Amino acid sequence: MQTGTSITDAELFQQIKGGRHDLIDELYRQHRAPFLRYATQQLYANEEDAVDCFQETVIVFYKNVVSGRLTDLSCSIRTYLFAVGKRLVYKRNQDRRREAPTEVDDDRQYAEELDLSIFQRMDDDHLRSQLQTAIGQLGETCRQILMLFYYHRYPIESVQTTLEFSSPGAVRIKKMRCLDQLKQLFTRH
Amino acid sequence: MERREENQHIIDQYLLGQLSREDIADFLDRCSQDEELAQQLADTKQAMQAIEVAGDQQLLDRLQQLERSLASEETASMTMTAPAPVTEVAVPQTEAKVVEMRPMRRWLSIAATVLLVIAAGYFLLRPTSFSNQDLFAEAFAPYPNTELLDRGSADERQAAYFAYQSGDYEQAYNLLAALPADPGNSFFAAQAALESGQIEAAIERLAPLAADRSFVLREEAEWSLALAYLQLDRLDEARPLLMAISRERGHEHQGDATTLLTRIR
Repeated sequence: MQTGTSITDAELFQQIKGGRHDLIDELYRQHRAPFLRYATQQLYANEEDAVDCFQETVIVFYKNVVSGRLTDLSCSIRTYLFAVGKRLVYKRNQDRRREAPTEVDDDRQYAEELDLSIFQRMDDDHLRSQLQTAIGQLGETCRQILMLFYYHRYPIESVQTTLEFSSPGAVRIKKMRCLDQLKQLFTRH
Repeated sequence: MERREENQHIIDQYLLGQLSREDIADFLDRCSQDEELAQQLADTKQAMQAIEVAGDQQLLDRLQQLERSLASEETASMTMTAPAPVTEVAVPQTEAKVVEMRPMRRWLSIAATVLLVIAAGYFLLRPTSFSNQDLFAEAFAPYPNTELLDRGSADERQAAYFAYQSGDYEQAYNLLAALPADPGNSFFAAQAALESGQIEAAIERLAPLAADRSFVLREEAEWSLALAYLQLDRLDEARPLLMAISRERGHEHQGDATTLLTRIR
């Protein structure tokens, strides 16, 4: 589907799926202004919440694409982003108690509705900072390997080409060592 | 070492969702019997959690940086086109004068309030009867156009969504129905059909969308479908669908469906 600019939705989708995570910038630019208008005018979000929710939405979209949860585009990327973003805004509105919740609204669990495992939300700040500290103590190559393989879901061969390793086997061995290092860092903290 | 590597390979496949159902069952079975493997799985899960937190943060930092640059571009362009500032005019502040109400006026105002409450109570509590068509009209609102919000080239798709956005639903339906029947177009065609009174056509399009759990607007489609049945007095189909929606925890229209069920005759 065409979004009205130089790159079509289908192209953007395929390229992000193929590892071009830098293209989330393009995605962000294309849909930011309409989403902010929609969120502030129709969903009663304030500007700051609208921006935050849109950023989360783009990350959710990205992770759904690379993890294979979203295999085909059944509507435009914009419709997808708006549908996800709308729920995040509702949740944010509810958190801020801007809307007086009805009896039924009280029962609604937006967190469950959204499968927030997609966007790693951690209420435990201590755990979050521990995990971040551990990752921060890894060497640059280790961080890159683990990030490309586990987060961006690159196949081993693509990690090899991106980081210029001699063979896929070399990447596997290095990845294993990096993982061990990370596990040791957890036990230290 | 070789065994650990092999184990790591299958653990990765499991955690990245690359195993078939059968392989998952085998793997979990192995984990229940092999303590070392189970520990390796737990450690990898924790590592992946850390990687995910760091990855999310990295993307968020990237988008926040982009946002700052886009926001400052916007501010710069607004400054260039902003009109000259208007000099503020000082408005003299006067203190409000408090006047005490006389007893007669107070009684009159109490009486007026009581009358108002009785009148409001009568209108609110009097038995009302709504037809299913009234309930449809009250509950249905076409989903906002999220496909195209910018005016662009005048191709068929643009024209269809432009008609939708302009509120010309009859024209929008005709144009949307002529587009390739992907779920997105089909959903908006159904919305336009509902709004322009072509209920049967809307049902035809909504039924498969409401059953497609991978469709991002599935819940909206389900709600619209229930309303469409209601509009046609097809209560045998509307009721079970509304009940299913009202039971689905977190459904976007769970509350609406619950309320509507109490009002259907």
